[in-house]
Amino acid sequence: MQISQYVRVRGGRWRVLDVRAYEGCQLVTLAGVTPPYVGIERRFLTPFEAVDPVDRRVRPRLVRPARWRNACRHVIAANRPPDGLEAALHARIDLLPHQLEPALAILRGMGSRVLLADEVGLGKTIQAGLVCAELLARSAIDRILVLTPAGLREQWRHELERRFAIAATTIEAPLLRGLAATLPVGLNPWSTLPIAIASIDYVKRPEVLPAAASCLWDLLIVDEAHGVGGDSDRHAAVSTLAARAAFVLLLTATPHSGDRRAFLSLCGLGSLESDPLLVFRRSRADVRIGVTRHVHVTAVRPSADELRMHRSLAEYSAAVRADRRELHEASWLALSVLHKRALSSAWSLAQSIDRRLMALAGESGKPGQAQLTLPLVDPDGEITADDESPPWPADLSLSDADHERRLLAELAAHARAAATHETKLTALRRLLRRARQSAVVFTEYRDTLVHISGALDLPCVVLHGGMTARERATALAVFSSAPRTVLLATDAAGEGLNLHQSCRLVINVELPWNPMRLEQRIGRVDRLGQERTVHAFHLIAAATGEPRILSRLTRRIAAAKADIGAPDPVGIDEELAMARLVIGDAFDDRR
Amino acid sequence: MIAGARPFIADGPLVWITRRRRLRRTLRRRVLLVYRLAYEDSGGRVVHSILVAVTVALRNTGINVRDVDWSNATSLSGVDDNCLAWRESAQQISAQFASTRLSREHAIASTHASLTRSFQPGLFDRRAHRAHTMREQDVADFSKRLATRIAAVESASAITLRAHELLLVLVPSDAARV
Repeated sequence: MQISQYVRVRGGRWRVLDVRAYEGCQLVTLAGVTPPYVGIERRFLTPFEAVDPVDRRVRPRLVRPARWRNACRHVIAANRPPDGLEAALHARIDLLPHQLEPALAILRGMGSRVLLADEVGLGKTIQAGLVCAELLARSAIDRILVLTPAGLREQWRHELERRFAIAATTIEAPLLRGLAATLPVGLNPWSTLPIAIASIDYVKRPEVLPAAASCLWDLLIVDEAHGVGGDSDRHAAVSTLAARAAFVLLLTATPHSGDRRAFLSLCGLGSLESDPLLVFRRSRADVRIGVTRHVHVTAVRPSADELRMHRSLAEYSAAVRADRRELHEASWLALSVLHKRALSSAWSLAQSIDRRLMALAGESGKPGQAQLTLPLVDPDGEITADDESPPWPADLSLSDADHERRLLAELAAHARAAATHETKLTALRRLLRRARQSAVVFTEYRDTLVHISGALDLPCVVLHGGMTARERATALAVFSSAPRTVLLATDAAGEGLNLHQSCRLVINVELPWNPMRLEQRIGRVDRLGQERTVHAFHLIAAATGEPRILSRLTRRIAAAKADIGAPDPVGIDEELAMARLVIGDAFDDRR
Repeated sequence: MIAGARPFIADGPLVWITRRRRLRRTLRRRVLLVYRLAYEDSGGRVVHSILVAVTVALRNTGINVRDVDWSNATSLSGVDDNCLAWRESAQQISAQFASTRLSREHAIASTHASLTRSFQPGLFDRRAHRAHTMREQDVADFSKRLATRIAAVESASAITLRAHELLLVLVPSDAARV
């Protein structure tokens, strides 16, 4: 049986659209050509259905010029050169040459595992979609599993359907429960879903992973793959699935966070024997696209209360350093969390200090003994606590509890006083008033986010890690539809979002210490399809450690751009260096 | 955005007898034939194709286009000679893709087979026994499906050259009659 051939089935004539061979049978897709089946598409299983080929006499047909030219155009368009992509013809995308390369590399048999590490906004999802569509069109694969952060599942489903006409199913716990209840006993619900999109945090769960892994996935796509590096449950789960998949596609804009082991473990996902990993890392300069981006640094002069707060924090840091004589790396990082929160907002620092004071006053809240939460209310792993106030580190305490309590009480008082009139908040309000357009405001902490949302006099929607996927989708829909709306987001919730259609302005309330995170923030609006000049504003508190953070970030970004293969562009070492920079300087300022 | 290309379906070549002076002057009493050569997989799906346009000089003018057996024109045109490089490239790319895929599949199978699962049941521990049996059953099922997938990949990796397909014919009007 050949595609385009005419066949007779159930008394009607049909044309063969597709033939897929399986064990002992063939799935034949037919389009009806005679009444009553005209325009109807049906699938039949042979040999269970009698499909008889129809011989048609081939004879030349005299046609008019228009028909001939039209046929000529179709013939050329349908031609499939050996190094061509069939799916690219049908995809609803504005194709760019660099987007074809991963699919072409796979089709030329250069490898089965691909690390797609292009810069933010260069269309990694489109490239992954092209690989899916091309392999499906060539019948090289049947089953696809996309693993992504929970908040991006719907976006993936929508993109696959809209751009490549690939109907995928978003996996959720209720769906699987429903399938398990209706399917025959012993039938794995995952096996009934040929193209599935699931959250990494859901699949990694011990009661879910065995069922997902027992299915044979032809293509495994891992979005935001930097999250599965290192030694973690996520890594173990993805590793199990990747080791059984015929093709593995890892997508991340920040493959190397400075932790070499994490990077190597990421590169080793799905590696079997001497299977090479194809790495694609293109920058905007490489592909020569993108609109102009202007980065503005807005220096904010701290108020007297804020300066007192920073001084008080420096005193506390000095006391910890004096108490410990020698600070370990963990202690530096632990202390840096307080400084980060102080630079984010006085309110968020006040929240942390208040919690610590309450813990010191009571017997229960011993540091580092927070009870682990069970995923009972969040089976799909949609909620993340990355933007919440971190638990008070065990390393961060003084041997003299009274002295610590006194210092912290003073710090809390200064922080609360500063929170009544935060200069960054005033600067943000002024900026938004002057911009008169939609904007995305990023902060690292949920406390700061809530504080800002209460203080802004403009319509705003919030997006943080404590929201479910449905709540996030609703917030994004409101932001996209309403003009002059402010989206307040944390890094934990903003990952992977496409906001370039409705916005071109990003404001960073504080600087993230990881330059890749800064790039991720701006990359939400500075991506393919953005037609206007992108503006990014960094609110920098003058006379604090923040200007020094900015200069260091700028140097690191420049160095990373110059040396794209740099093994340590940013990461834990960088965070530690930042911590020393800020805490050390704060200490010196106090002296 | 690129418009989707619908497959060209016809029960024979489409013939256009052109009266346009420029086309006639370009053709100079020759007929333009457009062929498609294609490799197809075991499911009959075209995996690689090429369009070859050749011109054939007419010995006699005033031919009746309906009477001409256009399929015989293939031998005249020497279509094969024009696409040797294409055939080589198509076979090489298909072989490379299949080889990479198959080596990966075999690696998966061998890794899966090499996983040893030690089992030491407790005395009268029927629950552990049942769990072990179910695990073994799952492993066996998985191995079977893996073998099926490898067989499917192997059978799909073979491509065959389809017979030449004449799609379009362009005849100058001063050389033909209907």
